[in-house]
Amino acid sequence: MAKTLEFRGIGKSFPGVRALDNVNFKAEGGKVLALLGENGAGKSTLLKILSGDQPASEGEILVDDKVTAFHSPHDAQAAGISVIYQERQLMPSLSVMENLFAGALPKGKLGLVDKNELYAETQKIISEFGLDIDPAEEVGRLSIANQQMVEIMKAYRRDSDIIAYDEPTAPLSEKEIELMFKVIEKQKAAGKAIIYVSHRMNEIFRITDEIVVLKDGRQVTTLQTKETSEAELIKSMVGRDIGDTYSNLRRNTPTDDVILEVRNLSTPKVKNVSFQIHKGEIVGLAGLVGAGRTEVARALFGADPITGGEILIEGKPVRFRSPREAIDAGVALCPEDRKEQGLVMYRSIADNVAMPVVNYLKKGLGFVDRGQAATLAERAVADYAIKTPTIFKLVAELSGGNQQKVILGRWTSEKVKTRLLLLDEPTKGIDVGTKAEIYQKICDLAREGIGVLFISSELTEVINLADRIYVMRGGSISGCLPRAEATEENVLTLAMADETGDAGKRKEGRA
Amino acid sequence: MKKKSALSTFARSKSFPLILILLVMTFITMVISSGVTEGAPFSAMFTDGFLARGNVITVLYSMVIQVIMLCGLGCILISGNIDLSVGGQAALSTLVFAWLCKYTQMPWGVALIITFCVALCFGLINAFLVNKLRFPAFIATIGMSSIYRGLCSVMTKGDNIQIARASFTAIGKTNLFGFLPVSFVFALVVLAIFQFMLSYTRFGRSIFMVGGNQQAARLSGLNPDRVRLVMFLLNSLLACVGGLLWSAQAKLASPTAIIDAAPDMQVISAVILGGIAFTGGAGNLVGGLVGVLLLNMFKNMLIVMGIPTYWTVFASGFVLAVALILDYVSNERRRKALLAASAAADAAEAAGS
Repeated sequence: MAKTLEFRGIGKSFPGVRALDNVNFKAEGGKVLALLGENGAGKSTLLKILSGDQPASEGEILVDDKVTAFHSPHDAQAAGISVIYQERQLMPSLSVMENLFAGALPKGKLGLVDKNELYAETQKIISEFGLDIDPAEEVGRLSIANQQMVEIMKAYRRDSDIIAYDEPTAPLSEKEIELMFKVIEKQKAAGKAIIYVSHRMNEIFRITDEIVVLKDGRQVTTLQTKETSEAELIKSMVGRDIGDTYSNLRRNTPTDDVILEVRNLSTPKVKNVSFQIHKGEIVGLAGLVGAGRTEVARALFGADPITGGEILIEGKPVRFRSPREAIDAGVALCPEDRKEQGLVMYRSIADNVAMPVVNYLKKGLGFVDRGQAATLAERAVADYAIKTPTIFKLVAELSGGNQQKVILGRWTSEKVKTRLLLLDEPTKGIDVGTKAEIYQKICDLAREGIGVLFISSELTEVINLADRIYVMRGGSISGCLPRAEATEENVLTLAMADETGDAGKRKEGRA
Repeated sequence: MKKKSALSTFARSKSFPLILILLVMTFITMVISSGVTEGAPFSAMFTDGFLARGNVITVLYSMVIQVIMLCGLGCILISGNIDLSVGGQAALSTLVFAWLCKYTQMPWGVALIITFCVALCFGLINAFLVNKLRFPAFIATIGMSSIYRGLCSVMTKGDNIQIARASFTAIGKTNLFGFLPVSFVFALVVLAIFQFMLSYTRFGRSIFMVGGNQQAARLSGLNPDRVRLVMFLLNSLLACVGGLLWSAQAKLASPTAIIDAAPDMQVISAVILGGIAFTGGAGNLVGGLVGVLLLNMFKNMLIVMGIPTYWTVFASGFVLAVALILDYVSNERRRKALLAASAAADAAEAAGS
């Protein structure tokens, strides 16, 4: 009963963009096929076509060697296809059970919804996953990881023959990832065809059988997982050998001048945080998600109120009441969520670059000097090698990496005079090649004497880039590691250790 | 199956504080308006002033159109849409009905059926604008509202049309037990039916799903456009029924009276007071009913307490503003509690794994 899915000559064009071009491959039942590629390579577009959310511009999809046309997600589901989306598609105000069975609520007497059956069926699925969730709980009240598991259970519930996972593990902890892998193994054994999209190499090598690599909308190669290596995959994804990203960096050298000194900073979510950043230094801020790293950055930027402590910039005490005051003092923040907090998506690159300095680009009666704004944007595009035909392109049309470069370009334009750069997860969701470019750029900025606070959840990145690392836990700083002592084990120990002594209950990191 | 007791659910619901406010207001008005403070016997509280039979009937009558509209608009808001044209639709459909009754010999039952068909066309137009032309519902319906108002004036040149069908107008003045208007009871029955539909039928739940996250609903195989079409049709039909009940009371159709009273705005205010999320996906009609009761009783209380009418308009706006502030505060609390719950779940997991 194994099903097969075949893409034949699939292409997709958006105005001005060729998102997919002649993609051909076959996913067979009882196998897990990995779809690999940088951001913007066309993986998500392909999945949208598969789910019936968007039509392909050309080509056809074959299910069991029969050409199948999808006009809506409903058609795709009817053909036995389920897609688990990277952006969770849940209804937060409704219960877990209604989210799972949306579109297929069990019918009871008089055609009404059979709530007992609904509850029991949902409970059954939750038990099969080995989770502990109340079927009647509002989805919005669940942890993010459990919300993601609800998304995965939705596809499981449909019992589709072809299941696509789009970066499912990003919000999951090790425990849920294990549970999910068990489910995937079960689905594989049942002869289902599985497509698995992920950036995480260890996952790909662990559960997939075959790997299709996409680059710029084209299919670069198809490899057997057993016969390939991480290096080979990265090479085919990037199109070149990036070698050791970190050892090739032109490093900065920290000076002895202190640019930022924080003494006993407290906010509603941060307790007594003290640290220093020198000119030309990259200081890493590590810790688990929710440890208070973002809150420190926001407090320094004047975005959140401070309840106690002191901030000194170049020795002078400052107390910013708004980001405007911070910007004027030479502090810049690249926020965690670039789409929601960093950029105005439907404005041009030029507008986004000029945003913080628009008041300084006045001419005549207070009109904005567009020429000057354009010059700033042109320079940002050149400095950061932003891939775009013009500075008037909407930011929404750029890839994630280029969007991040626009933000960096904004804060490093000559008009802003940034002295202290706060970077909150600057490489989140960005492909390997662009990451390397951004690392180099950060080093370059430090070489110019800017102090950098580098927040990241990716340990290798913090360890290799930072001159010193402060580790946060539960809203406080639990330790500081100089570059020489910065290892994954040391950082994780500081991030997870618990003074109250129940450290044994917690996981000992990935080590 | 883990179930919270009905009582505690109710005490936590948004309607609960509103009902408390309502009871306190009722009591104060009962006391003041009946003259107990000036030496009248206590029994006067239940017979004079606010609770006087004539007054109760007046309040109930004035609410009929709003309760009927609440059923449609409430569902529309839960599905994440809005219809700002129900006042115009109600006015225009009553004019169509009155015109047919006055200038043709057809039985009013036939006129009623024709009027319903006209109302369904209104719903169809709204659905077409939103589903096919992808206008935001707000813009589409506010535009249609002007068109309907204009048509009302064009059709009548500003005059009322009398309705002289005794068996129809009788609906508007029949009371059960001498104080309970039949039309109000009818409105409550309609409300109960719609609440039942929302809570227990597959279509009712799909309204919540589309309102909770339209994209998720679509990707789950539901058809948000179809839900919206049915919602707009039902809503227009209800607007028409509400208008006709109003006409039966007034024995005429007016190009301006219904629109000027802005029952749709009253209902939207009431519904928000009653805890239906403006963003969709949550709420119930019973809460909306409590909101309608609150607004209408408050207005009436000011009248029976002898406060000049031009102050009552101000005061009902004031009450709405206060209620919205309270709503904001409780939403903030709820939002924080939700965040805390989610964060606590994350923390518990981190500790447990």
